[in-house]
Amino acid sequence: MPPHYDTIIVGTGFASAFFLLRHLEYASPDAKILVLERGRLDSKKWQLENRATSSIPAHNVFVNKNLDKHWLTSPGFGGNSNCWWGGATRMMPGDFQLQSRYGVGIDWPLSYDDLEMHYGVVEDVMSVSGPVDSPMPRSKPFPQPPHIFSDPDARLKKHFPEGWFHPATTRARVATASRPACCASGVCELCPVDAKFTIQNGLASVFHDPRVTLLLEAPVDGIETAGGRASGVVYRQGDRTVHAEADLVVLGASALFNPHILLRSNIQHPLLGKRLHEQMPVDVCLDLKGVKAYNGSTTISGNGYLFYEGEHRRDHAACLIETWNAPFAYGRNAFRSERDRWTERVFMRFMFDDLPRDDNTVTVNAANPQLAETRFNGYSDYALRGAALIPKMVETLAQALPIEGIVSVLTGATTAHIQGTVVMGDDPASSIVDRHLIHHQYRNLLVLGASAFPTAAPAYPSVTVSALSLWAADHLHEGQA
Amino acid sequence: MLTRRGFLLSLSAGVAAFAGVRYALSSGEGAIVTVLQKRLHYLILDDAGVHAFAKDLAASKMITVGKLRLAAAAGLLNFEPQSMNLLNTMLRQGEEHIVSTYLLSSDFFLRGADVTQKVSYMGFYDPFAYACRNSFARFTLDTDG
Repeated sequence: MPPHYDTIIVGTGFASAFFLLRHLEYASPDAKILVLERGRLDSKKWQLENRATSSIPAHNVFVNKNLDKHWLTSPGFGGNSNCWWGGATRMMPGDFQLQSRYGVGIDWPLSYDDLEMHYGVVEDVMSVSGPVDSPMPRSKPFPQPPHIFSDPDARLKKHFPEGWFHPATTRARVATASRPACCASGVCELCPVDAKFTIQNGLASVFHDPRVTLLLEAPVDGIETAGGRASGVVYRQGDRTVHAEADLVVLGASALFNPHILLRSNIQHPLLGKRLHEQMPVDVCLDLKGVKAYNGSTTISGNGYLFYEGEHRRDHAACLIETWNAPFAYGRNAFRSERDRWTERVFMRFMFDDLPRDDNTVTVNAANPQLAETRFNGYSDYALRGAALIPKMVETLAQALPIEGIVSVLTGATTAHIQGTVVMGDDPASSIVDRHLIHHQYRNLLVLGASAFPTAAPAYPSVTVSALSLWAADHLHEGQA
Repeated sequence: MLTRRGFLLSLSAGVAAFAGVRYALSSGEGAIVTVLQKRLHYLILDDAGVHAFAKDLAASKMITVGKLRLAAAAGLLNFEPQSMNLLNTMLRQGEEHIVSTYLLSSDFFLRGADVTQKVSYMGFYDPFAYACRNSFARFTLDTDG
């Protein structure tokens, strides 16, 4: 007989860890929970010694059919929390209502207000540093004080008080029990001092709960179904194929691998694996006259919301701007060479929301079904129309900044925010999971994470992913509290 | 009698041939040294350190050999900083990439960007090894940032 569990959770990243955090509050003392992680526990020490966030190379887990477009993933315990940059912005209320407010895209089946309380919990767990003021409504302040602006940020804030903000970030402003303060290293994907929140340094305890069995190096091949329900999973351990049964199956394996596992399980839906997307990033380098940059207290020292919410979203994508505050790494021409003007230069990333396209997909690789396969045919015209307005946006920034010239405008390869592919909605014909991330057809199967996002916001997705997991767990146990 | 058109054609051909010869004879390391001497002419550079840096940067393959040789072929020409001509822009960015990497690898900013002091190469810049050696970041402010 296969072993039986109350719950099987696939993955150990943001989505799974925050679900487990809340699920354990409701679970009985004798509950049996199995957590399956395909990768290893690559400790911070290992990561720094090997200059990698995962011991599993990306090409061992998926095939990218468009090498101009990158998809960043970090298989292993803690998932993409190992390689993220710690950006913890919430989505804006309008991001949930693109169709009803602006007549484009589709609405999410839930609202900002539905998630507001959960956002607050996530920010507490992650010890997020953020602005005293905020571009979106909040019921309580950030747990950590704000970082220090760079001089360009301070000028932008002074001129656009409602449009420029300190970043919401887990790059610690002040040390926590498990993290030192950020020192603006500029290489946050592998933070050398472990200052950003990761599952490893902030939420590993939930996996050590006595009710939880964590299996590493246990890739899941599929979900088994019977009688209209998910009955368990099939996974591998070494050379063995193992079947395990469960009353509840929770997929939290990312927007690349959630659809991959569902497709391999022959759980069909016309939209499954489609609408793979993330924000369109454009990196802009500006020369300044008499203003020194790079003097904020963290790697991204400001967020611009000037071009985010508003009626322009009827026509073109919204934009969130980041000020890059560290001159290090990635081969950038960070400094000017003229005497005494070395740091009169600022790099900004403009991130535009993309309207998902059905022809951007995750599928199962035909030659090796254990690999996912991504195809990306381009961003939406909506995103491209937004990006085309960058020169005008720079003109607006020039009201606050003495911009001497545009040095470069380059489209980035990725924002490392993979989204879509198992979209949520109220209608089973046009969505795969419902507003509580429960599969429309298999009601004891949850599919967590950014795969459920019907549309991308310009904002970073991680705190929304985490808040959605709390929301889903709360719903599951409604009436039990 | 050389016409104006003929003169311009001859001049162009001469410049192209000169650049071609420079390209053919250039080396990656030589290009790096040339760029640093040109762009940072106002600094007192440690000559051995500059050559050591050039060797390390060329070995790092951060900048392709083709781009380095292009920079060498451009030689001692000085481009106007705000020129948006594509080639000029590309060359300027490539040169500033070299300058940026050198300055980060030196003690220049660590010693307060004092142009009267000799600049020494400290070892090829490694953002992981020198994680918190950020000369610019401020962690306290007298007034709210």
